[in-house]
Amino acid sequence: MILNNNGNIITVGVGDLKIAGSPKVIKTSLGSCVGVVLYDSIQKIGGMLHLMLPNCNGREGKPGKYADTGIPLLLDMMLNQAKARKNALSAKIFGGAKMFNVSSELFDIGRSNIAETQRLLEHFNIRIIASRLGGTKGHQITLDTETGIVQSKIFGEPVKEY
Amino acid sequence: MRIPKEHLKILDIIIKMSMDNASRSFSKTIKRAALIELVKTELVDISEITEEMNNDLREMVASMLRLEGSFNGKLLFMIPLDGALALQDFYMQQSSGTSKEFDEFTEGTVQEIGNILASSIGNSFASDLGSELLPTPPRVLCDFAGTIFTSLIFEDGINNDKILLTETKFSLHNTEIDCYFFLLPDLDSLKESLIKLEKSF
Repeated sequence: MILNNNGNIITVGVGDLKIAGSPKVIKTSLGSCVGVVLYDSIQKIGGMLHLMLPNCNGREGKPGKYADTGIPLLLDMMLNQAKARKNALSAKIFGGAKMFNVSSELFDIGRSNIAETQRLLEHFNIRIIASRLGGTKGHQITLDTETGIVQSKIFGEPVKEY
Repeated sequence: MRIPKEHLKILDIIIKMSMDNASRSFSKTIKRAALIELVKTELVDISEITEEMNNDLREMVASMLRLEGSFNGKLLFMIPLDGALALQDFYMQQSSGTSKEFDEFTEGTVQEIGNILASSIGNSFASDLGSELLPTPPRVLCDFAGTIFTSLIFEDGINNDKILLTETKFSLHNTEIDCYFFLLPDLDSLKESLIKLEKSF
């Protein structure tokens, strides 16, 4: 977890979260994981979380792996480290594909990740202004902190902007 | 997750020997030299390794399977989409550039290479560790490099922030094609085999 000011492109790995001011690009690749993008449009500060699972359930390790520990941490970093303003924050969420070939909905991790992410953002009063979710293929997302635009590319499909 | 340095060294040696065998089998199959450019075995942080993989924006074809037996593990053979088409031409002994689109033959080729590499690794571990290892049928994936790699480490990454990973990079002689082979051994089940081997030195 770093406030990265070196280089213009910041890549986020699994279970990690990063924030940056303008002009920077933050990107990641998703499968069943969900990418949460928070953006302060006034101060042009962006943050991205790459979460793997909905709930921590007492597991130790990286808080960024789970929605219920990662989202509060991302919010805390945006507000207290980057000094973003809560009323200027909006969210965009991506990913949550069904990558594993199992029929049971119980094991549809992507769907559970999406549901928990939506619930938590609502809980923290962060408005979700755009999303591209589900499917069965991988997803590359890139946030431009200058504009707040997220370029989203699903495997085999053209790039879309959100 | 912890692994003693001595065990890491032993594993590194066995992996290097088995990748040597694997590259010979790979070369024979495609009738072209598959050169090992890099072999490394290390404990890696899941965020750092996936960050590295997420920097690779290429579309890849991969064959993923499990090794089951004396210890368990997962294997992944991954090649860029254009490389997979070239590999298909080599494998089917067609002139270069014949295969133009990903189809069931490309899928079959990548699946077969995955099988060959897995069997080769299994044989090496059988002779070096006395371990019986059998590969499961491979699953072929076509997706972004980062997404495929995350599928490999997902299960282990849930419970561990660090994973033991061996990475081998091959290049195909006289081509620009690079391909990757990852082995993700289950450390708990591997420990017993390594202790046995250490005692035999």
